Amino acid sequence: MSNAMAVEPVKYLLVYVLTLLLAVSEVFPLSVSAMLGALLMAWFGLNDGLFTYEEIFSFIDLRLIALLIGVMITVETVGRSGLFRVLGLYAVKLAGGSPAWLFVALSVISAATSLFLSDAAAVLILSATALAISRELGYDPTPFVVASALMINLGGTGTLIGSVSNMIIGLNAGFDFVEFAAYLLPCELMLWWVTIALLYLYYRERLRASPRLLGEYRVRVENKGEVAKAALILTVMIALYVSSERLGIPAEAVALFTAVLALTSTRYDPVEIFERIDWDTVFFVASFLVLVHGLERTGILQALSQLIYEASRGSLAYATLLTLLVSGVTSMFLANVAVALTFVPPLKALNLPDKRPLWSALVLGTNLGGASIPVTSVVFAMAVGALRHEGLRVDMGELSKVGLLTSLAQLAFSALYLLAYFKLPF
Amino acid sequence: MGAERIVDKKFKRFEERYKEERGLVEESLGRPHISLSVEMPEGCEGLEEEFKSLSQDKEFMSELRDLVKKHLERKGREKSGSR
Repeated sequence: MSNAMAVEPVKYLLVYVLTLLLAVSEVFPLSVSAMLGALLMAWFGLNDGLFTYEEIFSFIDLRLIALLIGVMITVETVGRSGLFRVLGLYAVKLAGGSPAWLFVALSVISAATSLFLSDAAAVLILSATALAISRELGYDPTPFVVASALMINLGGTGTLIGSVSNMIIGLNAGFDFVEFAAYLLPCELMLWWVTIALLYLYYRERLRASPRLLGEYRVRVENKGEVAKAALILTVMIALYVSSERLGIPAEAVALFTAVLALTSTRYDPVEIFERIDWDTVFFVASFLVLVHGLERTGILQALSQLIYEASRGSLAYATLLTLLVSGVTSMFLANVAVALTFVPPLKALNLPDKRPLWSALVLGTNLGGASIPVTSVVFAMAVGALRHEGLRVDMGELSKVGLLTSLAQLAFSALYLLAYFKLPF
Repeated sequence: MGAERIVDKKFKRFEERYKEERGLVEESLGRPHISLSVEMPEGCEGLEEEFKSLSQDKEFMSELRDLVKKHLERKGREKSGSR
């Protein structure tokens, strides 16, 4: 830290901005953009004596990487069993043929699936289910698929392992699984119904088809043994996370244990599982950590921290709302993982006695802003891509409007929740 | 057009997994499903874009379904005739 401001910070800031622009422009995949940024940061930093070669590797938080990989292996193995496909199809069956109930059932099962699976895996399963069922019944598939994608983005907001940004924020805030859920899960569950009501109101005209029966609709479960094992692994995982604080086991250790349990108790080829891990995100996080810690050494992020403090006039309520708003809006246009990583050092440096509302605001902002526009959100893009793949015409402007309206409503509700939950005085 | 291209590019990464999942959902619903890989026929040079967009062409997909139906009906007749 002694080198802070001793170097010219502008070029480091330029490297950071350039990396974000490269990531947004999709010239390179996210990981490659961040690797390029990290390389430039390392080059300038070493030449300016901002940090040493050994320190660069200490910037990469191995606990976070272990948590990420452990969770990814577990969800990939569990997802492969078909458990969530079967649950989704049963939920649809329960809804009968009514388009309104089908809409609600698919929305709820989408958010619930995303509590356990990665957003990408969940959107593949639920888009395929929504498209197959709505086409079978002759309903317009777009409301079902869009609602499913937006609910998948929302699902997992309230759990430590629900999204990559949650893992980053949770570990840095020092929240264990139970503490994280205590602050954020009630908000997520309320947001499920706010979002479903909002989307139903928006699409009500397109959901006015006459109810049709699903006919000879029977869910076939080919590999019941694997489905049962997957359910058991999930139960063990949740039990371990819930009791991890009492047992003194860190979250990343639970993640790695569950990953080994999943790999040894199922018959899937580990090489195939490893191939399907989202390495793009893992490399992006590792490289972006170098970028952010390098930037931190220049003093820029401390200046940002001071800016937040001054803008909020030392008020925890204002600082919380500012964090929610800025992280939410920036996550609409930039990768929310990058937003989470960038916000962590300034929030850590902020001179406020209780930072729980700030961390909670960052979780809500980065998650809820993450699926507003199809071109910037992977989850939304995958759902729209599935619609286009099925030969359906999509109106990008209209979809962006739905996404933005939903995100803004969710952020507004979250602001009220944070003020009420933490009893923040102005 | 630009936005659609970006979305298609993002989806491309997951296209094979989506097709696989779509097939599994159809199977779970009791409807067998196949995915085919078709090479561009010779003599159609210059029509690469049109060829690649066939899976999103409603008319083509309808003709293909009719072809599959006719073929399966013929197979069915042959099967019952040989009994």
